[in-house]
Amino acid sequence: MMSDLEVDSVRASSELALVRRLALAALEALERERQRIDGLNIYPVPDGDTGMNLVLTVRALVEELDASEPVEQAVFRRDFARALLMRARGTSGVILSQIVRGAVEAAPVSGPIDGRALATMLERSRDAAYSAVAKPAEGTILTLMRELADEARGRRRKTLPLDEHLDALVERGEAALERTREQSPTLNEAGVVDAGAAGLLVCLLAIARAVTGAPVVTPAPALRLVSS
Amino acid sequence: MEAIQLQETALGQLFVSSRAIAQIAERSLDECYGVVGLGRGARIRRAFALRRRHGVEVIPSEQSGIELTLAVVIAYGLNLAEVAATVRSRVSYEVERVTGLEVARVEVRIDDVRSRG
Repeated sequence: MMSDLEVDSVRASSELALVRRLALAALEALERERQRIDGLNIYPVPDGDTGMNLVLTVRALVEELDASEPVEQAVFRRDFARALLMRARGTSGVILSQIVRGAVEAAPVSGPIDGRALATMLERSRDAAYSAVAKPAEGTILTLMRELADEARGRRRKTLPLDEHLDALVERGEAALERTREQSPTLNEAGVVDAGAAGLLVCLLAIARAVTGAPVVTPAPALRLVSS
Repeated sequence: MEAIQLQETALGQLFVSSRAIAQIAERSLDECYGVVGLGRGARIRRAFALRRRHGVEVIPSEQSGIELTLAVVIAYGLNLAEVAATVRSRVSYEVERVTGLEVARVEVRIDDVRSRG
């Protein structure tokens, strides 16, 4: 029979492997969509670097995971969140790292991620993301995060497989991304969706596909209208 | 109140006050990710210190354009250098876009680090 420490170590190593697989899927998807996301980046400063910042942030995340030893779960979560925040690049990268930190902190200590756990994780992600801004503008990666958390909360009592919950989140995310076009006067004028929000949706889509094992479609549906 | 010249035309000159520029910068700061408040700004003169908010100092640059000093409070736990860099680029972009003035220099001073609220 395994000691508590051994059980925790097995749990930590499987959590590490799972987070790593999902992060790698998100990184590969962001690398594929980087140019399209950069092309959308006209707000708040039109410097066309949102895609690159997200790639660099998630790449740092994957590197941290590669270097991680399966340690005690609480230690892993704390170190991971800290490394992520320190290596985030650009505003969208900083916000994404807050989102991931929230989700990792709120993830169930053991047992599967069901609808209720998913809602708890995404609500914590939303709260972490919103906690660091005085006056959040609408039509950004924050707006998309809030809608995803709302969707998850609305579905938390439904006993469905995780992949069905994720499919619903992707659907809600695509509609929310489309709405960012109308929510910001700057985006509306340029006729584009928000770059950071698009990046978050690309990550979510990649994670949903990695969970279900379905192939990733490129370009992501929400980005089909954007030329690279 | 210091006035900075925006334009000189045949019909006359157009000036903007440093207070107006500071307000544009403050609005932009409010929406900057990572900024949860404005700092005090030790170098800011008494006239500024009487205002409700005083995180921004505007001075004419020795060469051309203006120089900004932004005193901010950043959310605890974030990468300060990364937040400061995005604050600098966002505020200078917004001030240049609205006024047409060149922002020659932006100094970002982090006065405090704290959780929101």
